Amino acid sequence: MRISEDMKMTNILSDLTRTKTRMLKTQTDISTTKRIHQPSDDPSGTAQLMRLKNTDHRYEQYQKSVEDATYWVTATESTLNQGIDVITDANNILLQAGNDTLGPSERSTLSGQMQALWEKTAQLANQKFENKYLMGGTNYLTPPYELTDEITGESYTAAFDSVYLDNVRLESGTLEVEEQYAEGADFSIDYLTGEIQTLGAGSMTDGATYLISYETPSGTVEDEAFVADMANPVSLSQSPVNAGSVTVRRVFEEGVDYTVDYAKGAITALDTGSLADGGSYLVNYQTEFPSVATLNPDGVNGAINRKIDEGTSMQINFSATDFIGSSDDLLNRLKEATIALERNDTSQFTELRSGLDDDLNRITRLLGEVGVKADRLDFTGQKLDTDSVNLRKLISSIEDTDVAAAILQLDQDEAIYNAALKTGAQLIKTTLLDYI
Amino acid sequence: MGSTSRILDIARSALAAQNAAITTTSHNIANVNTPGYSRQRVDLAAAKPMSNTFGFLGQGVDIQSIHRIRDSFVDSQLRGEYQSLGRWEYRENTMAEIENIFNEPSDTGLSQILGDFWDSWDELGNDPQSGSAREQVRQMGTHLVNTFQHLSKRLTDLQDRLNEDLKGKVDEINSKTVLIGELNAQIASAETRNISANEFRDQRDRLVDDLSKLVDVTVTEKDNGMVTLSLSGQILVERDVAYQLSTSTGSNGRSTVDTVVWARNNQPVSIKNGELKGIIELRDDVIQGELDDLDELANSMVTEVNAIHSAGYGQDGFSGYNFFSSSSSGASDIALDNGILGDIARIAASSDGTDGSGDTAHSIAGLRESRVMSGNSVTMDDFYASMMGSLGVQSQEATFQRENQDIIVSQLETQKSAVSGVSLDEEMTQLIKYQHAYEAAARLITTVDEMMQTLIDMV
Repeated sequence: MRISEDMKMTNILSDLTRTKTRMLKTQTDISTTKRIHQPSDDPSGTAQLMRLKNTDHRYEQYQKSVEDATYWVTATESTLNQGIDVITDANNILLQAGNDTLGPSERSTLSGQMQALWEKTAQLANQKFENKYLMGGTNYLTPPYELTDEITGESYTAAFDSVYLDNVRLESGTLEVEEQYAEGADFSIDYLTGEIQTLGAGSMTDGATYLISYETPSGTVEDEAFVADMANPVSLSQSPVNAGSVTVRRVFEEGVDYTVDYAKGAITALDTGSLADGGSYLVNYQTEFPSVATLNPDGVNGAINRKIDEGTSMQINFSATDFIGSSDDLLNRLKEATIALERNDTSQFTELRSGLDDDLNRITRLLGEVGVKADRLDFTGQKLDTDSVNLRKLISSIEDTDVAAAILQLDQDEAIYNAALKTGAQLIKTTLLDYI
Repeated sequence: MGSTSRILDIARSALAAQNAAITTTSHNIANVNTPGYSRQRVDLAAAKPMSNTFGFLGQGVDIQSIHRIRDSFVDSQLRGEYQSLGRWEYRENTMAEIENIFNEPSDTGLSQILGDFWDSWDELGNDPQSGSAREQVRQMGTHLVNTFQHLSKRLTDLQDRLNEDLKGKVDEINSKTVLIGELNAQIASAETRNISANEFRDQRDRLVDDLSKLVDVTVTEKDNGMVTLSLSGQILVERDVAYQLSTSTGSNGRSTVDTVVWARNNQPVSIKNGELKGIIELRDDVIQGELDDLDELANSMVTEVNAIHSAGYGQDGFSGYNFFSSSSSGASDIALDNGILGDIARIAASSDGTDGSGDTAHSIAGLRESRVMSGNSVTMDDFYASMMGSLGVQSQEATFQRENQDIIVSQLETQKSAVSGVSLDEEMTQLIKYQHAYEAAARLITTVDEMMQTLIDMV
């Protein structure tokens, strides 16, 4: 074959370029430690790599959810444990109070402790974790139990013997007994002129003082006093009066109409006063400590879930009713115990203690379930860790450069490149002209 | 009986022949690096002898012609391979660009953003009231739609650029065919007058080679030295007439798409190879395919996410909100719903309107595991991974084909160069050979001169 100048140049150059291109790719593989830079470097590897990375991405997110769920479950666990402590303490108090040698004043002291346990239980049910109520269900921004020390409108049937109220340890001086009257039956009112007429058929007394509250277009009037007059209408200070906004009540006077035992929560009607024996009245008062807990009417049962693995979801919350009991059992029992202690009523102690045992069983079972969840989360977390490590190994085996092999390859290519340069240079340099 | 002056004539013809040969050799040396140049040789022949009583007496040397040395079989093979090379070379370069647009596998490609988007929903499900989790969902959503739009825009831009390139290539073909026609005429006119047209032929062959890279022309050489070029069964260049190509503007519904037509009758030209074929198939099949796939993915995203989202409840307690705007047609205009853009409280995490329910958000995050695409057989993430896989295969194929073509073409070019290329060593030996012959012929004249002198001295 003839060898032309052009052939020599083209061949030497294209051979050099080929080696150089390969060296450059190897060099990039080494410096980036990755062997796939473009899908075309390894199409099936790329697709596989992307799928594996998606899975890895998912696992990371599951791991985060597992951690988050673990915090939540741990917080629940510690709350339930405190609940068990409360029940144990309550049981001990009842046991101690059942001792015949104790007198009313010692039992009253124990009642105070029981009251504190009641409050602590309500607070446990209202336990917060990261600003959310743990047992509030999906309504976790609202406390599961609303606590109050204001009792209004408790019904009371007047008697000259002492009558127990629903609560003990009332804030002294806050109790009032009232009677409310119905428009139409006890009185009538002219909305336009603001004149009130006491009706003879009703239960209001001529000459007695009543309090009237009503609304007018210009504002609300609270507890305006007026004296009932069967014969003539009485003018109110403001008119006109908004239709249907009128309430009339009579407040009885402590010491005149009744006496109160604030500690025990008992009222006795006085026969010198104007309370009618057997009559129905309403009582308003405040207790020293919160003593009424109302469950969130929107519900506390919604499930809070975490996705912790492929296709696996776990409910991480318990509701306040799981903890307290479906009809406020634990709170009611503690309150009953408080009242029984304060009123020195030893007859219910046995029944209360067996009830507390039921509560203990319920919470222990709950604690068991929480423990299982914690175990499962721990197991899932470890499994995800292992899976993640295996996955990363696999990812690394697909996308990472085998550095040793790459360096060997580079060395080899370099040797070839040098040899090609040397021989090429010699070939180009020499022509017949050198010898003519 | 020969006369002495005849010897002089013979010597003179020898001088002229060697001179021509040396001139040709120097022409070869001068053009050693000229692309498309074919080495030339002087054809020498013994001059017609003179009849004599004792037989034929030689009359010296005649220059028959100066011809180029060329293998027309290799030429035609090479042209066929140039067509494929042009097609695959164009394809390889553009595929690399498409791969760059997608930028996978990397930590910044759509794949990663999809993952982050799903994660943000799961986080929101874990903490449905958190403003920062909501903000994160909106941000990742915005990032996602921007990435879709950006990918779609860059692919469409590339399509437009290819279309412009197509028009440019058509102009290039037109100017080349005109030149080929002109050269045809010059070659014919020179060669009918028995003048060598080697340089014109070299130029024309080079143009035909270049043209072959652009489009699949068929070349037929006629006896009069002219070539006829045809394209998809119709004449492109005949004698000195070049039939022009033109483009006709159409649309694929997304952007302007030009087709190649004959200027004389607006009939479409069916192109089967060369760079033009590369451009057309990239524009109409490869990039269009990627755009269609991207649209399918974006539309699935909109449909699936909206279906779950609109059944859930926003922080404001209302249901029925879309997360993505429902009026988008694909990846090019996918967008978040204006309501979501204006108020993150409208992002639905809750399945029943309660504050702590994250079930809707969890369901949306769960879409990453749902087989919702290609007839419910693959997940969205997998669909995209497969897209990249097949993009890689296409790109790899282009590279393999181009490398293959490169090898074939370089082998043929070596063959061509072995026949037509200039070798300096060879030219130097030729030079020495002709120089010696020239010196000998000059010596002959001196000898005749001496003979004449001897004769004159005798008188």
